[in-house]
Amino acid sequence: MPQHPLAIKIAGLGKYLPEKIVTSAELEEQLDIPSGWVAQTTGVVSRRYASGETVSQMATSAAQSALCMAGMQPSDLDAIIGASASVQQAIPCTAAFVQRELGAPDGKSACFDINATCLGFVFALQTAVHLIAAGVYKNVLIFSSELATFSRNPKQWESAVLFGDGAAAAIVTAAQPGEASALWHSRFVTYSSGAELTQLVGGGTLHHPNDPATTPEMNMFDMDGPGVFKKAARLVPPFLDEFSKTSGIKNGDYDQVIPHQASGHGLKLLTARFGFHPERVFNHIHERGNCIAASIPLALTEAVEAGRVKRGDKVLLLGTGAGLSVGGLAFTF
Amino acid sequence: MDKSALITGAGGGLGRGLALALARRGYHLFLHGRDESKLRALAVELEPYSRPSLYRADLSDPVACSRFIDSLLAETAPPRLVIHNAALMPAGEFLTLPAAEIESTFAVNLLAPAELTRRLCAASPAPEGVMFILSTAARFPQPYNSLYSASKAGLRFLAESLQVELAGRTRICLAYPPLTDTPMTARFALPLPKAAPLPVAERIIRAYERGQNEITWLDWEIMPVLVYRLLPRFFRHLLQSKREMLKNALKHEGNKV
Repeated sequence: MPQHPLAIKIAGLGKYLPEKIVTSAELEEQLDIPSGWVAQTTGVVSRRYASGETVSQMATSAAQSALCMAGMQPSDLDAIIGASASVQQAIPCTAAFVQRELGAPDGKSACFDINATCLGFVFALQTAVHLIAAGVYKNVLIFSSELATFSRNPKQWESAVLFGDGAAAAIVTAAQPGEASALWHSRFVTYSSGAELTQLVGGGTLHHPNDPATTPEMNMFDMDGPGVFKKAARLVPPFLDEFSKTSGIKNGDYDQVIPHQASGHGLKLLTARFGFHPERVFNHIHERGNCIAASIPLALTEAVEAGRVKRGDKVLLLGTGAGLSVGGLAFTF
Repeated sequence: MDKSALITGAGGGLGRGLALALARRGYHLFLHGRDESKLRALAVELEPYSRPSLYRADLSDPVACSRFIDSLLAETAPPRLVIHNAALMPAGEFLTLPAAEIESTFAVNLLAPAELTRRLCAASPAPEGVMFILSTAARFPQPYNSLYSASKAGLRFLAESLQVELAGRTRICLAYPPLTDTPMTARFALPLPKAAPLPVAERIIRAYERGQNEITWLDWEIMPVLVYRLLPRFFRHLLQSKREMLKNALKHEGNKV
């Protein structure tokens, strides 16, 4: 049965990309990887690397563009949600720093972070939409800002070359009468049986940074790429069946599908099966890499910039994240 | 780092030619461009010689320009040679040009090279050489190409001023390439011969290596330069009489370089 749509819209989108382009050929030379391996294995030809920017600076820059598109001022915001795997520091939440750097007034907005790695933005969007619909907040800024390069493990080729840096932000607010924008359906499920497939074991209390037993490797990202791919390939089809049943929207009905730019193979699989129109599945992994939580909002922003998503279009955000979580959110832009 | 160079606007045209010429000479290159895919394609072309560092930035945006310099300096000491090549040429009748183009043309052609030079020459060690790619448009006024002409003339005077100010510290080189067949000039129906970009670039680099600080071409363009200098009133009269021809040849068709 289709859900009752919520009259909420993404009023603004913005992005920040570092100027530095790093090609796969460069990384192959740096990490002593055979030539051509990176593009073949991950589908990434180039990605951006930050050089000195902080997570909050990148987020603030993306947020400024998003506010500009929405025609709003920082003072219009009453909530700021950080949704990144990369945090500025353990405490406080990155959202607090973004409030300050953005020049949003002290005490005017609630700031908190949501971390669901690659699905962080979509989780935050779901949260924001329902809080707005419930009347808790009016104008919410969500940002995802990733500095993936810090936790690269040069010995783990596949993950070391997959990620790119970047940030994206969205302003979420209630749709005005007469506007088509709406949230149709959102659903997330987590399979903790896959919790160890993607992890960064350091940084928490189990392997505290001050614990002498904590090794530098523990503070690096660790991913069983083929394991994630296998599990996701098994979980996504039934997830999509259920999603389409509950939302009442057939996979072929979307004007644009914005998948998490997880890997070249993952995107290919998604494009080839499931009944999506291949030309309506957005794919820019070749020049952005996997930007973790920023991946989906960055792809959405660039799809809007390219005119591939217009007001009134039905869009599906779809992805997997560490956990292992699978999630989707269907909305009219 | 013994031989390194930064080239702005390296994605196509003369910038690409300069990159190839320097790569063949063993320079490590820092390449700036606006089109990421063009930069990547150029990097593939350069692979037999060197692996360039690539930067995408829109120099018409001062914030992006300053971020680009930040990220360049975060990675490297100032390159030994800096080539200001990026330029916009929004030709056409001045009164019909979109307002935004005044800003963007001066930003890319004049403000960005000024800021880049300031930051890089203030850093240590300062570059050995800074090359300004000018144009004959900097040597005599070009009606219907007013913004380009004005910004390049400004850039020329900046370069000539710095030649004195930075003497003994950084060598300032002014290059006046001839009308070259590049994406920038491609859309103009100029009834004039255009030089091929690769040989022009090669000659510029050769002249630079020989120690020349003013690189000019002895071709037909020397005529208007001389007439403008020696007989300015006659030059104005000549331009007046060719007005229609110039106007048609430099019709504005969107500022795409």
